[in-house]
Amino acid sequence: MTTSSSLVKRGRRGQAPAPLTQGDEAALDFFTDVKNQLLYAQMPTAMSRAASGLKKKGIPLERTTKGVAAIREAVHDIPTAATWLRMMRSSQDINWNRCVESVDRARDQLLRDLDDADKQGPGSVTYDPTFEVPDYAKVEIHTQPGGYVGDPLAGYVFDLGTGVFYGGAAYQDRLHRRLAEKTEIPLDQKVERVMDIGCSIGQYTCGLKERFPAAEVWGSDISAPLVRYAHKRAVDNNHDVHFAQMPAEALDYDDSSFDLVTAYILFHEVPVAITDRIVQEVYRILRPGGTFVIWDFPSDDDNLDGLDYTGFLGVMDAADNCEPYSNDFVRCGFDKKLKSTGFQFRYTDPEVVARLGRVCDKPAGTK
Amino acid sequence: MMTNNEELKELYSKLDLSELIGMERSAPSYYRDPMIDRLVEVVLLLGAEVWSSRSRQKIIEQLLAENGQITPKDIEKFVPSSAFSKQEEVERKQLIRRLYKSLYGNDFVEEGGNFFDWLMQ
Repeated sequence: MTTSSSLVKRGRRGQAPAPLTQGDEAALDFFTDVKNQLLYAQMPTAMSRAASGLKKKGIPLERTTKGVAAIREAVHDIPTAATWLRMMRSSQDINWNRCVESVDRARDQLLRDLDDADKQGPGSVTYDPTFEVPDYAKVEIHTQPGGYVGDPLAGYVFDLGTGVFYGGAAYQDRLHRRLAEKTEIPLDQKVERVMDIGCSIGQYTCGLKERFPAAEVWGSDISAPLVRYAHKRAVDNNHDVHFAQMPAEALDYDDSSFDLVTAYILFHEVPVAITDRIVQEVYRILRPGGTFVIWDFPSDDDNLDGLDYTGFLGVMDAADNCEPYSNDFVRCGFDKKLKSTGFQFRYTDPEVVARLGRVCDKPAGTK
Repeated sequence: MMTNNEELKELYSKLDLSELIGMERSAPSYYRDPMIDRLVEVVLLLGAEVWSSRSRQKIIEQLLAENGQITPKDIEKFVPSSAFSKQEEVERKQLIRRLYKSLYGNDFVEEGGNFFDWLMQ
């Protein structure tokens, strides 16, 4: 066992923190493949069985506590759906518990490592221990124990746990680097200042720095534990990125001060009222001609990845995977909100949007 | 340094989160007998333990073949080659299939690649 938090390049995980024992790593590898095979490959069949079974029983997909109880009761007689839901939830719980157990083995050392990294460069991290985290951000999202804000080591746990969630696609930051590679830039090609809102542990943020090495790159997130870990991760990998604890609905930056703003899977994790405010804030900090690139769930006027989140999957993911805001998001007419704020969509073809995200330009010549 | 200003506090105070499902961690049962839920979880846990032991054994065999002797520290420090990792992945997926195919009966779907491939395009 090692007690160092240094980002050991061991196994297929790459630069994510190696679990602290070989046994932990093997267990997480196992659940990575469980995700791919038993959950993701199995999902369409499970959804289909659930939909037809619930229809036959006349059970509506109500997004209420009572509605969810009725669905769970009905699922007792739909074995494929019951097994899929059980595997989904248990694999999440076991995965997170193993991540926490692994991190706990070196908790004191890892806390000291974060303290040390706070003072190191390249780049920087700022956070405010007196900041009162709003209740909406205290949810144990995806059932991560303590969520994003309840454990000072949430970043380590998130890194390990989401590696499993992605079924290996994010190992060595492959997925986030790929997103950075294909991130669209302002039409005038000027990218001197970049902001990644809701940056979590900074995987995409650092990918953007690799893509735009001369630019000043920032990452913000409401969670101090996540931005502190993002900074540590960036320091260990020599990425000159600035991280700040900051809610995306209150960005402490000047008007028109960024060329490019990005948001990767942020919006479905905040209440719709907060979404509205974030869109306004991004419009304010973007310079005229600047670009906002958003990777997120479809909203009600599109279906970006063909995943029907408005059905059984959405209700049960919200209820049992602690995704309380996603159902409202997929119905909130997000694209219309962006347009009414003043953004212009660069692409409208759903296939292009699925590949490149929502690419939204703040028109040149506006304030 | 950022602080909560009054405007922000007001925005937060107006949020009504009480009716949203998923605000609190649930403890669901999906089978009529909750014991089945627990047993499926145990089966998952045991699979991970079986794989961990098997993986450790493979590492020990590899290190013994290379060095003739090993210590527990060597196992923890072991960095698999790409070929070793790939072979492990194949064996792990076979184990998962063998162990759990029967849970879905005829509805079992063979592996369909990584779910996030569409984002990688």
